[in-house]
Amino acid sequence: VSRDHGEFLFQFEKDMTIELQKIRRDLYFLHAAALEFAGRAVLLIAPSGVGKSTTTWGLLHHGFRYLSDELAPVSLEGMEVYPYPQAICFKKGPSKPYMLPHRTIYTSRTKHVPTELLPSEAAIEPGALIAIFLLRQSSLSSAPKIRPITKGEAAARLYANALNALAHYGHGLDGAIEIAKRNFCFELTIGDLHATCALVKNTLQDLPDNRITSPLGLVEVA
Amino acid sequence: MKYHSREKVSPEGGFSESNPDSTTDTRPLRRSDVTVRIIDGDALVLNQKSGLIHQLNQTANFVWEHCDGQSPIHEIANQLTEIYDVDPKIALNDVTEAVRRLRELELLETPVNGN
Repeated sequence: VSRDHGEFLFQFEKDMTIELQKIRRDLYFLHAAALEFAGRAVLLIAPSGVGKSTTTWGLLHHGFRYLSDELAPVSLEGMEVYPYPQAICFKKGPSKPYMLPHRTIYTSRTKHVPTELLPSEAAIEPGALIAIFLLRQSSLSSAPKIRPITKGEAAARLYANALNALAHYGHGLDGAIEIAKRNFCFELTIGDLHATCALVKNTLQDLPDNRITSPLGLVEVA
Repeated sequence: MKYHSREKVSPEGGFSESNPDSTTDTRPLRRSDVTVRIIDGDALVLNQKSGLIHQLNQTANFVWEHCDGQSPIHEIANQLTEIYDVDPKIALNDVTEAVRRLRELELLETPVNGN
């Protein structure tokens, strides 16, 4: 029995994600936010509390469409991200001018913005993945920074955020490597929200049109 | 699995249990029950027991690959010197440090004393 509706929602969403992983074992589930921009999907990955939801919320004000806030189901074969449009959940509210709508639902733990209140419409079809941003926190008032990271670093950090790694070949490591190899990978040190959103948008707009689709080329060492 | 090294003697003359790599004659052996993948020169080593994943850079990966239980640390350092054209002292320090870190991360077999 939950103590309050905040705890109930938390447990309910947790159960939902576990059940989804059982139903769709073929998908590679990541703890990540997912957005669509110009027909391509991007992932935002971060430890809890770094600002993933806040960055997602900000990007929704800058031409991005919503796919998911907490759970990114990735098809390894098609390298697509499926939408999981649950309400965006905030631990802390974003600052001005990105205020939450009046009809935000407040619980004892979190703030939830239902998808119908989002500043842009939620995507209902899977999006072809193109880029992954691994978020790092700095002072919220400082300028954001972005740097490309190696495929190895990206794969390690993707693996650390995989929810159903053991359902996949090679203990899920190959899935993380495939996602890293076939997409552009960056570390994004978040700062002022408006500047962070502009930096993400500019980075995506500067990407070459042709996606990296090199084969895995994995080498077994041990 | 046995760890191929000579007995190690601490500076006081006693048996050293705290640092199995205190001599460069030690022959470290990488663990076989981990999953390893190479991606763009980096090695990703997944330790299923601990659930931890480690990213090894090219030098660390070079050392890891040479931890075959046959090659002593000084020999691994010699090979590093030949291939990467680095100062032998620096290579020995780097290899010793890499072996120490790999052991700390539980990626090497536990030494069996006297073997």
